[in-house]
Amino acid sequence: MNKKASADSWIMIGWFIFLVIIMCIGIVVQVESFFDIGFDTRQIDSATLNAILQNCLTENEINFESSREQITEQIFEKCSLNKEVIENSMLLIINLENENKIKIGRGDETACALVNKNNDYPKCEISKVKLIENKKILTIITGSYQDSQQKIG
Amino acid sequence: MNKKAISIVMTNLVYLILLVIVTMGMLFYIQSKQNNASIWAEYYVEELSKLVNFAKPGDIITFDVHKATEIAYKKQVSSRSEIFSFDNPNNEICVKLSVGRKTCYSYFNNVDVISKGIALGPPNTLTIEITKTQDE
Repeated sequence: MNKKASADSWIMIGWFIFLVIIMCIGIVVQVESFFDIGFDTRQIDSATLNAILQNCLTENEINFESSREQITEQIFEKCSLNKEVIENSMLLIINLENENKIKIGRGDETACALVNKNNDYPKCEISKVKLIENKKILTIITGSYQDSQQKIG
Repeated sequence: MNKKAISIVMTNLVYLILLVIVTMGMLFYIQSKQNNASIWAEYYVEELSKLVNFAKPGDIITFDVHKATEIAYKKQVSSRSEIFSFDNPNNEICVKLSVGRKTCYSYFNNVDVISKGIALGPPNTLTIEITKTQDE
């Protein structure tokens, strides 16, 4: 066999390796996309927070005439909520008769409405509650950005 | 044997060795995805977080964790106490079903979670107690 022909057979091994690598990448991508989809529980998180707030605000008296900081403090204390988690991973907006009383966390109502356009926006839950003492309507908007985190340990 | 024959045999041998190496590698990778440890860890951490968010101080919750313990055993997690951990200062629950990796999720209820440990079944169950936060 001449030297040119013998060189060709080794070049084919290079192509073989290239094709095998492409095949392996394809298998890995398919397996990862199937097994690592994960769960999106943001809607459930925001519904849970909303339900807790609905119960809390109807059962406890919160003075919505005080300052934002005082309202925030009352809500966190009486509803037993962790401020850090809400600020970092959730959204909480409370409006009294269309007047914004508190807003904690990232985002706003617009972000909630655009969640179908961009999955990075929070998934939200909106509810209205009628206060017994003054018959005013309270709008509770809760949202969640939270996703599970993988850590070493 | 003439040189042509040797060349053909060598080439095919190289192909065969490469194929065996790649096949072994892919089998090893697919085997690592067995038991869906990461998906189950995510499921357990999020379910526990939902339970804790709705709970009140004084509640005692018993939760079926049989599947989690099976997977942790297969993945050689060294002890049952490592599978579920509760970081109360950071309001975080972590589930470890693989060696060296855990999945964590935060809960917004301002309570502490005390683990009472995993009771062997079947089914194996985890019992947790909800208490007021330590600084109260």
